[in-house]
Amino acid sequence: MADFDAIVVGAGIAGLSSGYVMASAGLNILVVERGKVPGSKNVTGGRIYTHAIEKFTPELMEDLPFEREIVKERISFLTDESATTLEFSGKTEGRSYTVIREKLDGWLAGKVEEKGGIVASGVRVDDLIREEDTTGICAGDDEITARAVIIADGVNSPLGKKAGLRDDFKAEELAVGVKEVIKLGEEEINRRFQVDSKEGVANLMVGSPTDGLPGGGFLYTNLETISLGIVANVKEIASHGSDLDELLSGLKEHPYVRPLINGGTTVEYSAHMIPEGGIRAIPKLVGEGYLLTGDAAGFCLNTGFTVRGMDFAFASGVLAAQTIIKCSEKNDFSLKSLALYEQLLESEFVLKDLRKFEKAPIFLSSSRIYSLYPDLVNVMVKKIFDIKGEQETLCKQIREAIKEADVSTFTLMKDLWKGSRIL
Amino acid sequence: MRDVKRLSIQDRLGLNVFELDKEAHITVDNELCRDCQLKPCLHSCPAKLYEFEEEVHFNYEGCLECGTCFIVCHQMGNKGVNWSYPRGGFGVYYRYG
Repeated sequence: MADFDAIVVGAGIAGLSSGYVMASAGLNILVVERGKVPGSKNVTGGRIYTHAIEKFTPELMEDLPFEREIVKERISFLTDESATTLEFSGKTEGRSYTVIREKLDGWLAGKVEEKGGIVASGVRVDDLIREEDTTGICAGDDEITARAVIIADGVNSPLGKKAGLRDDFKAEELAVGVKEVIKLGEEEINRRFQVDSKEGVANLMVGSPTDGLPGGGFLYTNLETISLGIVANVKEIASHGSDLDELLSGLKEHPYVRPLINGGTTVEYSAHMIPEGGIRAIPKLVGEGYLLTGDAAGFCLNTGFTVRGMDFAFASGVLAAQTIIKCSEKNDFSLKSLALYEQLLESEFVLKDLRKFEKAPIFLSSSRIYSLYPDLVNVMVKKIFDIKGEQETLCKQIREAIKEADVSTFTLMKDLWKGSRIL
Repeated sequence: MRDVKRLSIQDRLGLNVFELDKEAHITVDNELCRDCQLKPCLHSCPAKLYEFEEEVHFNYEGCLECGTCFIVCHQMGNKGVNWSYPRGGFGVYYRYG
């Protein structure tokens, strides 16, 4: 007889959403977290798109601890000296919010406990055990068994490897981000970003933040703080000898960013890897007694202008939970029965969207996007607004800018065409 | 008016909360590092915890637990980095994340 119906390893979004759904269904579940408290090891950029929470567990939306709802979307092209920003302001149908993970994950863990689940923090799972029809975990000298284990231990996923479901992600499939949380105060943020207290801004930046390497900068407004960071491809960082910590310092001094954070006090510095390999990097998701969820499964989608991970994590956790609930009803935890998880993922946005954007990771590895095009955009826009006497027509200025950027019109058209189809 | 202060990596790590363990969760095997030309760990670590002075040294105390060093070492270096997460309850404690 197993100790639990299911054990979840990792109290991140995926682990806690699965724990919540299983506990709500009356299953006897344990969530194990290596951090001192849930959330203390977890890092986001970040914003969460809430469609998955609204769909599967709408009751959680009522008092979920958000920071600000995003009402302004900004994409900025940066050169060392200048910036061109595209801004959309207004309500979108799908909502998204900035979050602080320590608050969010701690709150979600509380919800799991309210439903009767057990959350054990400060426990590192060292190994997995598998005997006949039970599976389980080893933590130090303790062995705990269950009918199934949901692996939600994040991008590095030591347990996904132990379960034989995956290997390490490849350096080219990974991005690494660094972030400063900068305290400015609620009123000051409202003033600088021209928003009300409950509203906020998401700003992705491409070009000089990464010194032309695949990746970019980001800025999100939390209630009282700003999250400012840099994300870059791991392989590129390692082979170019770039230094993320220096790049972040550079971004803070950029004429576009500086006035936004000026006078703020940095309160935390974090680093985290992000699986950005897309559908082609997705490992085996189901094993004898195991389901793989969230970042551990590579469920992130970067299209260049949207970056998603937590909605994928939440949904994959819920779908893993639904699978376990079904297996429990049938009293059948065989591989065949657990494979329902893959069907559910296929029927939802999780695998559908990853499949749709299959070619995005390759397209987004083109260096032109991170140096040539941000330069071109800035040169072009600068020319248009630069009155020094005689003014040239728009058409002539664009032609000149393209000529100066030294890019063939053919390459430009090809990239635009490919980009519009792939992204 | 206060300005944007340039923070060194030590300043940055000094802002974080760490629960220090006595045992190191990451170690390096300099037998292997010696033959590593690229030594990608040295600059890829976002906390700059790898240093090279005759041999590779790693200071586990400021580790942000991102895992980048392991990936670059094992895929682009000479596999000298032995990596695991700190024991339960130890290591970095992100208050914001």
